[in-house]
Amino acid sequence: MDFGLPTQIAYPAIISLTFPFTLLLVTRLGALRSRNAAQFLAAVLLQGFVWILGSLALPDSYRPIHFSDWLFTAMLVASSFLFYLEVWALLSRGYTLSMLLTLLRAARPLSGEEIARQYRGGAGLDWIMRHRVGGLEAAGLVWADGRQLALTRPLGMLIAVAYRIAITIFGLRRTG
Amino acid sequence: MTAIEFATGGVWFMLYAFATCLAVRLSPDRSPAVLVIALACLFTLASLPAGALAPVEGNYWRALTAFTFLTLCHLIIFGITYKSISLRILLDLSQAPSTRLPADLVFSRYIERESFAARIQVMTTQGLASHSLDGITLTPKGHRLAASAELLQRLYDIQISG
Repeated sequence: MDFGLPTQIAYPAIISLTFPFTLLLVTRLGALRSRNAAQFLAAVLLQGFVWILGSLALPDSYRPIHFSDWLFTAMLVASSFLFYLEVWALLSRGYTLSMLLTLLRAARPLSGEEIARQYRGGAGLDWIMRHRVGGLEAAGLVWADGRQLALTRPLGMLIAVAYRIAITIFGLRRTG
Repeated sequence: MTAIEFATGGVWFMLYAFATCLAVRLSPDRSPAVLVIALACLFTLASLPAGALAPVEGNYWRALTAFTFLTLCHLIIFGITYKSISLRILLDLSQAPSTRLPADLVFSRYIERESFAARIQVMTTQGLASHSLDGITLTPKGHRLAASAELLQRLYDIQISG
């Protein structure tokens, strides 16, 4: 294979490396405050827009010209966004990380019950249940029937079946 | 990126995906998350000699980009499958009679017990926390990780995670 570095790699690399700064700016927007998913999406859209605009304006040797060049640079930029998404999801939704932070903020060792009680700044573990079920309801995957949770059909059931197939393919013994 | 370059990255990714399925099945005692990430790093490094030896008319970096993109998609789907609480709730509901369960039961059986206990176990087996007579406490490694995460959360104004 040819190991020569394509010159079209330079601009997507800059876009990828500067993404954390764009995300930092977006988090300072009052309208998106505390909306972590929306903040990330807005930063991706903004950075994606800058990438396309720059790609059209760069000199020929640095910009994608053919469809194959656009595909290559788009994959490069998308890969960096996926990497940052993993980190962002961990920071903003990480269950285990939140337990570590509970221990960090405690002045002494905590029992399992104390971690559960002090979880998420004192909101407690049942916050997770409310938060996740709220998300599932908003997505139309479950519905609350009195004190019972019920799976919607066909959407909820479809996702559950797809999830079961994914567990089988990956060979996972335990999930969640 | 030519079709040949994409196909080369795609074939390398297929080998990686096959290796992860095999490794997770053959090493039940090891963390699946550690296995898939370690294999992703290994395949990325091994792509250099493989690229030098492969009789393919194409650019290595373009093929590597295809592999990286597909691998990151795979890691995202794997991560969601392995650790998503929301999907686990859906699975429990799908296996219940008439696909419904009391909300309290879902909470107590899964979030309060199974998932919480699994996280405590992960923290201790990864050397991030340890049990003592007084309770659970962070190890120096866990302290460093949690302090870094807290710093990033402050920087990005993430109020509280979870």
